[in-house]
Amino acid sequence: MGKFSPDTLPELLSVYYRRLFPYDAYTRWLSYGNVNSNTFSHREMCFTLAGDIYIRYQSFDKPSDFENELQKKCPEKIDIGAVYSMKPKQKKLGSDMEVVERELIFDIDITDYDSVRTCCKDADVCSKCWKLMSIATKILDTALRDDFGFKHILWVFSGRRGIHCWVCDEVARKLESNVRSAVAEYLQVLIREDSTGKMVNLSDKTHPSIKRALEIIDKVFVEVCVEGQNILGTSQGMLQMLQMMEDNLRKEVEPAWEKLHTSVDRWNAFVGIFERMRGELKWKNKHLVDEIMLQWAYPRLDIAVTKGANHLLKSPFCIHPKTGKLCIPFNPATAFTFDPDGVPSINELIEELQEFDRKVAQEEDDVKRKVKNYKKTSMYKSMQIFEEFLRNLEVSCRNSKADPMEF
Amino acid sequence: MHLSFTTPFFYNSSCSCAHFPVMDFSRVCRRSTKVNFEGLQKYPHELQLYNDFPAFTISIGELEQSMAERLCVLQTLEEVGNRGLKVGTEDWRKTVIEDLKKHNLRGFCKLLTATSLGSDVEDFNMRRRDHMSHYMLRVSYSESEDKRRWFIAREIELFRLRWLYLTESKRSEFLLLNNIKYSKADDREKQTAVKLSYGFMTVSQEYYFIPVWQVADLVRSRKVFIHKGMAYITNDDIISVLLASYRATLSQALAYISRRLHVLDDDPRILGLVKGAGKNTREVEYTNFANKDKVDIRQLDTLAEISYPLCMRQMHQRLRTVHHLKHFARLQYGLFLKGIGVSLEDSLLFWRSEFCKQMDVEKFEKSHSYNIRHSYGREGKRSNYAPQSCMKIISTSVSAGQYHGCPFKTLDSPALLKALQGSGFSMIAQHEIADLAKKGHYQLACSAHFSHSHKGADQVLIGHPNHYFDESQKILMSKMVKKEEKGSSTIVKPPAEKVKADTPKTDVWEDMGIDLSDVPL
Repeated sequence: MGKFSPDTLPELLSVYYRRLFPYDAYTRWLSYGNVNSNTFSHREMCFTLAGDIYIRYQSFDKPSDFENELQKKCPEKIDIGAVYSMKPKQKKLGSDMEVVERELIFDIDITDYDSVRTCCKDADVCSKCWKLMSIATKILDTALRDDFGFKHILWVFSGRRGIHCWVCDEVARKLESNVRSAVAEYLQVLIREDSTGKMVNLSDKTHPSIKRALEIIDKVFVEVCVEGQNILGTSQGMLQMLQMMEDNLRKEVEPAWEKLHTSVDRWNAFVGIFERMRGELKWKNKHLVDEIMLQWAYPRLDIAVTKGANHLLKSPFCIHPKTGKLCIPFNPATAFTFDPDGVPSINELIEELQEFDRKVAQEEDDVKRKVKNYKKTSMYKSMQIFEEFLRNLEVSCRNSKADPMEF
Repeated sequence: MHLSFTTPFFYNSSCSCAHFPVMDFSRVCRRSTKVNFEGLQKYPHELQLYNDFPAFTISIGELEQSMAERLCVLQTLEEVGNRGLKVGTEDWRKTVIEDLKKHNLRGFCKLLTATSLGSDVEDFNMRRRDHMSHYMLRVSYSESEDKRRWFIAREIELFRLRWLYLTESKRSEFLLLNNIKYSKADDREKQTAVKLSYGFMTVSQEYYFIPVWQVADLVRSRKVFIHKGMAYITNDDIISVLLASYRATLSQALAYISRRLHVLDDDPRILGLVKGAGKNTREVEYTNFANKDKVDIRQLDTLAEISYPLCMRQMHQRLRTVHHLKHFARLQYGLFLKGIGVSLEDSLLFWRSEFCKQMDVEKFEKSHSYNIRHSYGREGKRSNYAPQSCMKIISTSVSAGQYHGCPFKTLDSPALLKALQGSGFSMIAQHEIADLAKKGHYQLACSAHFSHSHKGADQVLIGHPNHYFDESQKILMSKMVKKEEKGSSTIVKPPAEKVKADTPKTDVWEDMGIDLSDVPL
């Protein structure tokens, strides 16, 4: 199978939008059970055309309009905005357009982990640093479900360096902006570094959500961070951690580390010394091991995206123009084994489609027609995840339509 | 269980003129009209959530006076806050009431402290004035995002103050009157929650359930245990719940009014009252860019040294060293630059020259120049945005890797001291500033920073970064004039040319839309 080359993108996109894009499921999602007909038609969609031409404030009266426009324009990227009080396409300068609904969204970008990952830099993601993203997924997903009681959560791999989370419960979509920002800040544990480089300071009364996050991290911390990221394998990494220690702790840890050679040995030695000295440490170091685990593995959220209800977010099922990879839903429960490299790219999908067509060419035409196109490709698995998400969502929507008084 | 208050809509949008349903101004009432006394039934409690709009006749004089009095109360709250007293503490409560007494606000004082004025009629009148003045100030402070924020913050403080004066039974009565109910967690529910919360909750304490959406502030600061969308709050937390819902109603109502302000244009008397009260805000709104001297961007490094407040200096240095700033920092610093008199062309030139050290020109043009033109009112809805005030800057959240915001708030003491090292201040001065910042007096810390940077200058209370800059320039100019009289030269250039700028209209927050460069991939 050939490698993706950005030059071929326009041609591939045209086939993709004609034959593979899951219009039906996609527009059903954005219609939310048609409880309110404006939900779909008042939604802002933004297309990015070749040459970074942005077309904002588009909206579509009905799903078929969306399908036609998509096939006509073949955008390199689709962003989904909010549902407004009027049709965004009718927005004029100075008109009052207010957000009436918006999924609660989260954006985690691997580049925000640059200070704690050693395997890659910038936009690159390998299976090692993906593990950090999978921890983030697990922590966030658990918090959203257990703490806030959300049920309809869609996790999406962006196609390159990020993951997105769409919380689609009705309450979530209708959150007031101050509540939205409260949820975001509740989940943002890491703040700006202090002078020692620490991004979190715990008190004796640690919040249950943080304790639970620590349990999640603790299970894989050595494997993912200490070993996988080799965080104490370099002098720079050691320095970063030593700076956070108060003098008497550092005096013990530094010589111990010099005698040892691997990241894991050094980490274990540090934890040992820390436990022994814990009683004598000042408050800023009392929870250092926990704080380090959080700093190295707690989700790093771009909360501006979550807070701003009018923020755009890249849509699932578009193609990343640089990598050619599909932006697809993944299952948060199996995120740890998800392989970002294994995500199909647009050229692979189209080859698979053609391959299938060739094979079944001899068979009857109805067989061909009955099978949905995406089922002939490796998109199939993520479509199943999406379909299941959609099924549950539509049941809830129907229930709330039947009984609008229910909260 | 569900906490819902109807949003009071002050105006009827379908009407062509200002329509105060019962406040009938067409019958000119110069003299005090008789109150249609209905006893205290209409205001059964000294505290109210102002859910119904005022429906009665009142004289303009009484209206004006009650507005002035309320405004004085709100301003006192702000001043006390600026002195660094923490809202809700015993000190804060005492100071506010003492200050109010100095202003001769007997009626309001009695009302706030929940003391009867002596007779039902007087109590009724006072509660009515409370009601009326609140509504009128809503109109006065609905105009801009900054004003709305100021008004809401003060009214919330006022409510908190008044809550402190209520007895336990008065509080329950209030909750009952406003139909606010919580369900109490029974023993079994409590046991489960204690276990789930890793010991965050204790068996000895009583807990109430409430949907998390109604306790946003407690959730934000992780002060409560939450599970499946329900927060477990204690008796003491109830005020937070009340405030959150009050804040939400208020903010909705103000936004609603702001879009309908134009209906006031038909009634000059009300317009006058409303505008008059709105001007008295002591939060600095910086609109002074017309006829401003143009600043040469080649001087920015020098100006950063001598006349920038710390927040801007930090971002300037950051930009010079890494040649990049993130979205909110670009916004905060960019608008400041506009405010000090950097023209759009120069601004583009300045950002381009820095950013292009690490990206190509094409990318810059695509990703950033739109936003810069936008902030100068040349794109989108073409509002000429005002530079951000300290209130705004202090209240924005700053996460890791971001350099905007107020350094006195975002930096911890060691980091702040480090940032102050290059300032040439004495150690004592540096620690004085860091102490103020640590106690949460960010603007006072900034003011102290100003006086240490400008020895011998009068004390200035900083409320706006551009104010800091202007004051600094004023002082340097006057020094320069003095020096020139003695025949020596100076580093600050005299004004070059005059630049005209439109008066800014709204806050940049609302319609910045997205920053294309930050659209996540």
